[in-house]
Amino acid sequence: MDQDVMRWVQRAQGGDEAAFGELMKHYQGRVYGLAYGMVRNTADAEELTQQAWVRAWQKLGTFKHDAQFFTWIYRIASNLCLDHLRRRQRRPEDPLNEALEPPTFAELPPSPSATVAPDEALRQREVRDAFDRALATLKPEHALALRLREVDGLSYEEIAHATGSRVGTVMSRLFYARKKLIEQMRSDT
Amino acid sequence: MNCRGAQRALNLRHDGQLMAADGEALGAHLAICPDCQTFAVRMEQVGSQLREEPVPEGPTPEAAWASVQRAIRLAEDGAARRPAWDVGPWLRWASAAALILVVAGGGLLWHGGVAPRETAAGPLALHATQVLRVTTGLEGASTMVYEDEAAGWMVVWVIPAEGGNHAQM
Repeated sequence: MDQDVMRWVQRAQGGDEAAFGELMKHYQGRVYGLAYGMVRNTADAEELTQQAWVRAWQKLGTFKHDAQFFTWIYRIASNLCLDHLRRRQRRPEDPLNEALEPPTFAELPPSPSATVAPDEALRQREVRDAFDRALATLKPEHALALRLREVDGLSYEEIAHATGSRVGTVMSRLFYARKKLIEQMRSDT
Repeated sequence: MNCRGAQRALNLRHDGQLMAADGEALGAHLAICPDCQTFAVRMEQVGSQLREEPVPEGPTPEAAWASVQRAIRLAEDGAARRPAWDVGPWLRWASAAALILVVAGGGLLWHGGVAPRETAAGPLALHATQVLRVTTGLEGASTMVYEDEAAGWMVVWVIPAEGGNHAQM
């Protein structure tokens, strides 16, 4: 698959839009998942994912093959998400800003709780809500590093490349993100 | 190893980055510290909570690609329709800087050569990283330039110091 990705990138850099389409379709789910995890809103996540791919097309000439394509596209998407979150923090009174609201049940795919007893499902829901509240207290950069490590399984070096940071910064962000989540959940339960 | 060191070591161990020697010291600490034992368990829970987090289904790759293609066309059409006088961001910034110099010079003349001074931050920093604050000859006034990303306009504000109206160009 890495061979395919390299070939698609080379063809796309030569102006082959179809090859870029293959790249996009290959990574679309992961980029969307990253965006949703950061902004917690489906419409914003779709919009940001689209912006990331348009920007990737425009900047594809600057991609160097000594890096991995997915950390490059993650970097574009991450920066857009962080900008979005900073703008949202500056105008929290915006009535159209529904991004902090949790998704409705209809938006969510079936979870394991759908197949367990109602009281256990309720308990799982409470744990999930407490976790979401704790997650919302993290700095966006810390939440991003944690997500890239835990959900996407990126190495420290890959996270550093995807976020434009040093490895030491990544390690520090991961530690403080986890510590804060643990403390928040302890005080919330 | 104290608790702080143990928590840092747990963080590394969770990511598979802990050195063997530190692992032994961590094990010795965990054996006698219930708080750090709890911390270790919760660290694992944090990871699993994140990984099991449900993500609403997004558009299919085909639908997403169709949208991206439309957006690429729009962006390219927008660039192609850009008027001849609109020669790109660098010259727009340069023009804005020149305009500021003119304003600053005018201010100096108006106030009979008042020494310029650093100004306070402007109130309308829509894009913090793109805001350029400059020194003007209007005593206490501040001038601010930013590019309105949505409209593509270069906006210049000159803000008088003493409760005057904002002047927008």
